[in-house]
Amino acid sequence: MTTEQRAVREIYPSRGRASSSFELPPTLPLLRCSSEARAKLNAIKVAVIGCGSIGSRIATHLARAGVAGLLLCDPKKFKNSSVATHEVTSAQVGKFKAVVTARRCKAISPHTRVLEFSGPVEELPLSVLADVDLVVMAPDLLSAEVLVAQRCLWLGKPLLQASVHGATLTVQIRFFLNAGATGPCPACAYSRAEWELLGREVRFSCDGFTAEGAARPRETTPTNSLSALCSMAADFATLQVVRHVVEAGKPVGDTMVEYGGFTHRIISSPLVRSAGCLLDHTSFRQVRVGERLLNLSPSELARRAFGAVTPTTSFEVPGAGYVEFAACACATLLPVGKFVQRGRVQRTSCRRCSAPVVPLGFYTHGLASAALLGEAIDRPLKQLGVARAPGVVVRQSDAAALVTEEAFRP
Amino acid sequence: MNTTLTEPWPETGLSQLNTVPLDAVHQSMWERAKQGCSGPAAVRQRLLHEGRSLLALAQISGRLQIHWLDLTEGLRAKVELEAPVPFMVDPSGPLQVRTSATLGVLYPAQAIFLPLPGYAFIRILQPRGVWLSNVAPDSAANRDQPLCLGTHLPAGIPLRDIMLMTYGSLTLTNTLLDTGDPAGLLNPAAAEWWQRTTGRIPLTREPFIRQK
Repeated sequence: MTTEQRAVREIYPSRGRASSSFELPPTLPLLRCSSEARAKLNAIKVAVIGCGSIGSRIATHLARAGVAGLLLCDPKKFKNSSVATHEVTSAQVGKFKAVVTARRCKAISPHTRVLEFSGPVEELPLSVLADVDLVVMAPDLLSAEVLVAQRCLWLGKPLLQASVHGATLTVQIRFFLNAGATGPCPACAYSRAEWELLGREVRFSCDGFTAEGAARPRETTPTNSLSALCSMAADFATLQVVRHVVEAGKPVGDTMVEYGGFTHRIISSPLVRSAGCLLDHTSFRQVRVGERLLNLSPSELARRAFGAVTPTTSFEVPGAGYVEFAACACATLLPVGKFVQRGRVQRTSCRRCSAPVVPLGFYTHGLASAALLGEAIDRPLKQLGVARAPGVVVRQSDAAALVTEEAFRP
Repeated sequence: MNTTLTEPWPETGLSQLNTVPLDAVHQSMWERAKQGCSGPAAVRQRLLHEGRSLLALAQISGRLQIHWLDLTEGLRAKVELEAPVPFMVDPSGPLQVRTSATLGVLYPAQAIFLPLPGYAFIRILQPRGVWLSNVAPDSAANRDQPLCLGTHLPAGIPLRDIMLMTYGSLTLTNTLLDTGDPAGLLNPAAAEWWQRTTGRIPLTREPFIRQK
């Protein structure tokens, strides 16, 4: 699959379905919540990362609750074994999980704006995630979990994590409020064993088969989950989301709910921040600008975000690197001073040796500091090689801001 | 058989790098780098530790010179390593040996908690065309040749260890000649060449820390 194909796509209702005939199911009055609370639920946009046996069910539950928007992200396709744990039939085997789930959600709730992204979460633009109100994750990889946790911390998005352990019939729902730098994140509770599993890229799959399309062999730990256990995790997770949004009962923020299937006991406990957590607990300020980002210079972005440029100001264009120097066959250090989209093939050739001019890995920066940019800091981004930027991260001392366009709509 | 240690113990060992008082030059480099160090406290602390260790290592080794050290985005340093480094401008031409290599040292923040691929840490900026089995050939894909130190290096590996492994690899003190070994092999042609030219291995027998 090319990067071009990995775009966030909107799902439209199938032909012949009259979207105007849809009415919100009468679920919410049972909660005895006010019409304002119900309106909150109808206005919320939720991202579901991982559309497997748990995530896809949460997505359909939320569609039934009539949420305003759903963003579904999963890079994988259904396998034959998926039929045992997912709500799919053999007819859907071989199809992208995010696409199938998104179509189902759209069919359930035509009023809900449904977006799907059939790529790895690493490639999901930060600005797209910034547009949702809450993130739900049920991935099968710890690295994806850490990545989503980090992004939610940066964006200050509440994060719900749903998981199961098949052998002990356990369901675990953790809700991270991400309301400030003092709150917990999933990695705060990681032990050495979890970091070790993360390093080995162990995949926690329902069936334990080798993941399709994996870039390189990964260990796979079967969770041996029952369909019913996954379903229960999805039910618990959705209830937590609804309780959080309509503010019903005790606050669910920064708590973990654990259900033990062998004892039928449910335990709720607080989640705490670890001082030694390796994730960055800085919250990005979100700054919207009226102009096109490409027409603004890094210094202007810094002024909009923090009022001024200081020696500690630095810039990050997601998906691009700032190339300080490149090289060809005859020259070792050719100054470039531009942002280059990662993975893009360079078409510039050296006039003398006619070899391609290649950005040097050592001199390609994910974070371009004000000092590194030098005078280029006052030039518009489009003159600095940026072709598209749904968002730019500006950092200054210990603070950071995500600058996006007001008109930005994923 | 009993052996007698004829060399005196070095005054400062590699395990006490953090106790080495930095001289004025290294101290000022350290102060400058510290100002740009950002990120979570635990990450910052570790990067500062690794940065200082690198400066101390340069000071005691007698063969490492730091051009600059930057802690803005992980650790990034341009260093000069005095060691014999084999290179070939033309793969069919003669092997040449340079007395030093200019290296780009990278220690990304993720290296603290994730095992990263062995090629993620060292880029050879000079000389061009380094001719070793675990250094990618100088090509359009890799103008700053990555040095591979293994499939993955353990999470949190000290930078000191990476520098020692680099010295061993460049000087062929630690050789990698097996063309079938995926752990670190980036240039099979060089591996085959060195298999035929084992008489020149190693390029030096000097220890990393030069004796006074």
